[in-house]
Amino acid sequence: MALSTTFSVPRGFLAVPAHQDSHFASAAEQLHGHKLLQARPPRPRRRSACVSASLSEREAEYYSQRPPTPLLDTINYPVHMKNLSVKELRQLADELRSDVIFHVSKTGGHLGSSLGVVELTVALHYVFNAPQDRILWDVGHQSYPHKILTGRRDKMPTMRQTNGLAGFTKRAESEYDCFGTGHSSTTISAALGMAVGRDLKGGKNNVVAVIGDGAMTAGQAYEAMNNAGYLDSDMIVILNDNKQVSLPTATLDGPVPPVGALSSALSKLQSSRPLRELREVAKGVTKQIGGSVHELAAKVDEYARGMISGPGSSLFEELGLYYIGPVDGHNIDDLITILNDVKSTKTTGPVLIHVVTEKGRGYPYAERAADKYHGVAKFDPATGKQFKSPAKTLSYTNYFAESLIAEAEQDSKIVAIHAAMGGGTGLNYFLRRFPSRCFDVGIAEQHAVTFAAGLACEGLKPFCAIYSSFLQRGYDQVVHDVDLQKLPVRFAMDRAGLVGADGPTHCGAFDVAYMACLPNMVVMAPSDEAELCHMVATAAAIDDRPSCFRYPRGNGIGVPLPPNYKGTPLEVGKGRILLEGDRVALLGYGSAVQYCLAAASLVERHGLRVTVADARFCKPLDHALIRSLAKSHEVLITVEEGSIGGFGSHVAQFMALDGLLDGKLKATVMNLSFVWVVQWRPLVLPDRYIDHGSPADQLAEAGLTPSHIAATVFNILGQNREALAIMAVPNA
Amino acid sequence: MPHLAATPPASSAAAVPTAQATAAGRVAFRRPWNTPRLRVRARGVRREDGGGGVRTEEQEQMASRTFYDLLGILAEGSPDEIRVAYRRLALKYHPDVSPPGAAAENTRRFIEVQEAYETLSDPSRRASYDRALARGVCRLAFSGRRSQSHRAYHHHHHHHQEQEEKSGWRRSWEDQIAELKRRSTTKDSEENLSWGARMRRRAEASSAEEL
Repeated sequence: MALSTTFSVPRGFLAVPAHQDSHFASAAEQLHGHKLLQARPPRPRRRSACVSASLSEREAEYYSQRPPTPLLDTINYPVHMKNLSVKELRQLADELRSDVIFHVSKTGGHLGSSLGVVELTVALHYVFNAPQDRILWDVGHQSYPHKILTGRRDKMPTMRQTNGLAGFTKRAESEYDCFGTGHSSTTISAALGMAVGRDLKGGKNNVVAVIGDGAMTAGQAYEAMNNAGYLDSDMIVILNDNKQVSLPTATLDGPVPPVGALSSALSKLQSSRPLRELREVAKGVTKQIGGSVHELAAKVDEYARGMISGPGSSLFEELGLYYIGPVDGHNIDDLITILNDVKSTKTTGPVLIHVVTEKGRGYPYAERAADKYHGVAKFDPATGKQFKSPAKTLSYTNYFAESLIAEAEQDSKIVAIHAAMGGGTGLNYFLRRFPSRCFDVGIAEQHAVTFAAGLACEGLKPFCAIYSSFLQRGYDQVVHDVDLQKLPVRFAMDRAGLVGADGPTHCGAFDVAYMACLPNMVVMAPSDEAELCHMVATAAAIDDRPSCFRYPRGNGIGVPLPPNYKGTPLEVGKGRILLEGDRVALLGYGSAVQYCLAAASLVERHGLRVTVADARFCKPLDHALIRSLAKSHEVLITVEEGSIGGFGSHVAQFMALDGLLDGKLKATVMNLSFVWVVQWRPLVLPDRYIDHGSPADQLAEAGLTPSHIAATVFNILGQNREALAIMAVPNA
Repeated sequence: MPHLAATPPASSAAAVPTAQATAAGRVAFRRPWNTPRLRVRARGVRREDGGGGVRTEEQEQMASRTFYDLLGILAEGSPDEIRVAYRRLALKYHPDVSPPGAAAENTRRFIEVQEAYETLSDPSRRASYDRALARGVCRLAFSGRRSQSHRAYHHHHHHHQEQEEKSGWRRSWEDQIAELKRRSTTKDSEENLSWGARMRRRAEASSAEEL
């Protein structure tokens, strides 16, 4: 862990600024020569709601060169902020904002959400004393300003890269990250746990959870608030309300209106003008009564408050949280005042501060974009244009959306459900084509699954498109509501396997294991985009039991597609052989088949031709294929991008039960009988979490690259020299 | 005009309307002129609590005119009345028809009238203007800046609206904080049986023992 200075460094006298970039080094040096108290460097232009700022520059609406950040350069840790005045804090917020923009422009990542909470981050770190005071960020990807202020500014260029900063909060990375987040709606629960733990230990620190209005659509937030109200432990929940409930915050045709009744309640809160006059009258009345009517006044106020508070605040009040707000989340004065007031009040119980912010605030392109620049690739700050490398093929997500649309054109019973991920699942396209057949339930996977089950009861054909790792949240519903009752709900699990820069919080490693163990579920995985189209058709055709299919993040490999993306249903429980060879069979599941094919070509250079097969189905397994592979090869290697307990385990189970592993296989070659046992080896994801990084790095870390597979082949055959030769060539 | 601060309650009581359906279908409620009466009392209460300097600004704004005054109509005027009033005043103050000496003054008035008409003719803007009046953040009819482009004006206008909404918020949460502080003094009394309260009492007791 980096050392933290425990005294406040006099500004202007740092020998080496916390962060220095070559192209403004000279400017920074000049500024550091001045004492900050005397020379006020020109402040970055204030970003206000007025558009007037943009009229001065013709095309570029933001700086093209990185503006100097003299004040931010003096802040390594929150303790360095404690002596700043409120005016300097505002300047710090501006500098922090420009710093975030320039860092994300170089690395890509999540932008809009971070921009919305710059002031809030500054205020929190100013008022509270992290890490003794616990600050939890429910939206992990809005923690970029938090990371910059807590000693990781110099590592920001490594954001989301291999061995670099994680894109979400991570406990192992810094003591200032109290809780790892990535799936939403968990921080109130965690904060309550920390508050109760503090109470049991007799501590005095504060606990603050920052949660978004989108995360409030998840049930866990209410479970936590309900419990918090009951336990009455001191804690602060900051509801960051930016009216963005779904991701990526927009449909194809414009911003998406917030989903759900809750959002309208929140906006009523924002616009409610409580009958203040009545309350003033009430106050006046009690004043006039005078005397020791303290309790009476309190009661009157209580009644008045109940009567006049906005319609939504009573929800939080009923749950037992004291509601304060709405508060302008971009006004540092207000934020600091409120936070200080709440902090200094001795016994508060749980308090909810409703803060209103704007996603993408301060960067004109983000403010205007429909998706508020939620997640961006590298971009040019001056023009806001993202550098997206052109790809020859679309993403698997796109192919899924297109083929689902093709199915739905012909079958009017097909409906699609997603949980606040219209862009990520591609269902925005489906929404545009079939506006009344696409359902966004908010961040509520459990509800999505049971909702789909209800639809299936009525004879509709629901496709639940939920990321593999997010479906974990709705697992009981999958088991109990769908599988147990054998309802034909189709699960389209995107982001299966390793996902690259998002890291283990979004990694879909477990879906094969948790789906294939269910008795009634059909589990399949396409090896390329054409197979994906066919599996969508297959799932649409399976109407008597639940089914699921998984596909990875990334683009297709470039195979011919069925016309109009309309696939044909596959025969359930039948795989296919792609390459014929001998001695070794590689049985791949899903995208791993491509790695097997690449490994086969590597191995062929050394004179060995292996068989490559695509299992297609994990449940029901293609028994005939496995038997024939086992009986005609010495070695059978199963490959999947999933954890232990998945495809490989099911193959092993089958082979063991079928006697294929008993050493009784017989073959007769040239009148000689051979008896052998097929050597079965599984290649799966290792039994540990793979950190974020580039997909290639992650695959190498997991040991599933084609080189690794090829080396495994040779190792099993005892040809170690060839194995080493393959591994010696990087990224072969 | 009846809704200025100096009016005795009697006349404003007479002027209190019942719900009226205007031509736009809006139910008129919370007439602006109610506000001053209550605001005065409220202000009295607040000052005892130590109100801030914001009040003086409000008082100053109270003294200036509203859009309705400008057009010479009642606050629940129908869109037709507004249009008629606007046309009348526009003709009166238009620079082209005004005598040369009064051109500058008339131009200024003309622009004011035009701004008033633009606000009041649009039902949603009129609604939010009415709300702002009702809250007592009585909008000064004219902004200090002369916006050149129409678009910039609208943005400024909405910005202005937002600012008032947010200052309304400030009063709201200031009250809530005050309530929180008041409540916290009695929160851990013996009747409160919640887990948190028990733990806090225990912590208090043990720290008192230590002392």
